[in-house]
Amino acid sequence: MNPSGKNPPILAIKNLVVRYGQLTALRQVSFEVWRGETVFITGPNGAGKSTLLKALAGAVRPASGSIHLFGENITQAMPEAIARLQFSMVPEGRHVFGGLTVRENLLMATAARRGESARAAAIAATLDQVYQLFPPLKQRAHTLAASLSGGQQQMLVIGRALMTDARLIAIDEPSLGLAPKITDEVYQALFTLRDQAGLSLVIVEQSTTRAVMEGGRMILLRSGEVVLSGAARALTETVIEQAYFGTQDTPKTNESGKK
Amino acid sequence: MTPIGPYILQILFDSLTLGSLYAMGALGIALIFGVMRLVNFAHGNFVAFCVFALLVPSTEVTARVFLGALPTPLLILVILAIGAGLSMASEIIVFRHIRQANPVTMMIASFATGFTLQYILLFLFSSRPKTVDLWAGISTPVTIAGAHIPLLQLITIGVTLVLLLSLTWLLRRTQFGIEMRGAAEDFMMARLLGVRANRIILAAFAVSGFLAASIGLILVAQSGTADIKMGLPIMLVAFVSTVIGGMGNLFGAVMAGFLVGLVTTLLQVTLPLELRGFRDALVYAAVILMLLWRPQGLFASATAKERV
Ligand SMILES: Nc1ncnc2c1ncn2[C@@H]1O[C@H](COP(=O)(O)OP(=O)(O)O)[C@@H](O)[C@H]1O
Ligand SMILES: [Mg+2]
Repeated sequence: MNPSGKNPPILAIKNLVVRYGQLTALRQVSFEVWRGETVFITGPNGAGKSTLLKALAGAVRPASGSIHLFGENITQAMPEAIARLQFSMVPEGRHVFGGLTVRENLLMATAARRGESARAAAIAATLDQVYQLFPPLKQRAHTLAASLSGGQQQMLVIGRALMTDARLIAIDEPSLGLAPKITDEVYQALFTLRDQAGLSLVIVEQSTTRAVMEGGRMILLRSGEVVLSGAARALTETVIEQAYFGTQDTPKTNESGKK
Repeated sequence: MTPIGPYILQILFDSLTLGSLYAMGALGIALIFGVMRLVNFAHGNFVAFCVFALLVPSTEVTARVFLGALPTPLLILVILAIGAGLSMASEIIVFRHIRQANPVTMMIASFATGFTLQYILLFLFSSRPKTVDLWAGISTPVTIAGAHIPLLQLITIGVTLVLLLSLTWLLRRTQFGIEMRGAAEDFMMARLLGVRANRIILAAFAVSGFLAASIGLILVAQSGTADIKMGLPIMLVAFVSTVIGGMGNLFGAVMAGFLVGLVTTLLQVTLPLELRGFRDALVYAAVILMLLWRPQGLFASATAKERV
């Protein structure tokens, strides 16, 4: 599948295996992401979704397989080197720097910028953009991030990802612990950016509802394997349910020639 | 009977002086702990090493000065650079390679580094303390509001304040400082945002070594002796201060350093003569009580959290 014609994918994962000691968290995971796409990674608790994002970002080292990001092999690269390729990963658990102010948190994320975009003016412009997108962050710019509410912290970590000047953003469970209304706002902001700035998104959600609601491509993981993948809206509820709960034996995908 | 005002002033300056040394030591340790969860037990040996860099290697009792012969401002700069360089070298030669190892392994490696340095000094200078007469006149008392304060105390406190203020400025107002503070709080998250791990850690070692050298210079000026174990007692208290301050909390470490300095000085002047020998025992007992009450440290923030 290649939605954008003959351009190569911006992210290509092949036969990725990640182990934690004896436990194999990802088994032979393969998929690609093209520019401008939104890909939902879904699956039950413990399926390996967070591990997948951590491997992408260099926070855990794959045992085998390969990851290519914007054409570069990053399989064994350091997190800070990967961040320099205009990729940003928002890990599970928010991880705001509580002892830094909101503004400092946002500035922290400019560490990977280079050249023109590292100039003070360019940074100020993105800062403004983030403040416009998430007004509460502007109001609380000079308060410690630790004192923000859960929803505001979620805005902050996404704002931080935007501050990196990323072309591809991967987010782990943006809706976790948020009121539905705020979740909607967060998604709204993300999609606005995707459409305006040509951003590509990889979003992890445990439930498949959001993927089906928003459209885009869905990759369903279970026990570290891709058990289903395809356009979220083209997948029937029964197929999704069977894949999610493992009530069928053979992994199914609507992509031809792939397992 | 002496009037009470100057007496209190004297106690204040005594505790600030002692606290300054503890605070600088604690900050040097907390900086490294913050960015790599390493408790660097070699830190005290850095102090001694910087002091001995002043001297010509020999086993005689009276030291002949070597770098100590430089004009004072230059001498200070060179010794500070040696401290920073030594600390950075320990990172590049030793700690960088075991960064992924568990904390106990790193701690043992830091002991080994410290002992290696100590034995190098032992080999070059022997274990006998040496008299170093560097800055004569630095302990002449200055009279402030009736109290006689040694000039060196004023210098120590002044230098510490200047160092702490500059460091605060660096950490608060510069991009580099923001990255360093963020990295100390959540190192992996900082790396995920593109902060260069090696650069930040090396900078932390440099600042930490710089502080160790400052302590060394003050100690040698205070005591007029060089001893291969001279950094260790202060460093022990500095470690305690980082724990009291909440491991990795820079502000807490500094505050706790001054607090321990104050408590120690107060015990020194209030304890009856026959109990003074137990002063340090009482200080440590107070530390144990405090940790039973607040195991996370006095200044532990609500923000300490799991790593990515
Ligand atoms: N740091 C770790 N050490 C050991 N096992 C881990 C670690 N992180 C995750 N796991 C295990 O790997 C599997 C996948 O976890 P994870 O990627 O967090 O799944 P998900 O995000 O889909 O819930 C789980 O069985 C989990 O217990
Ligand atoms: Mg998860």
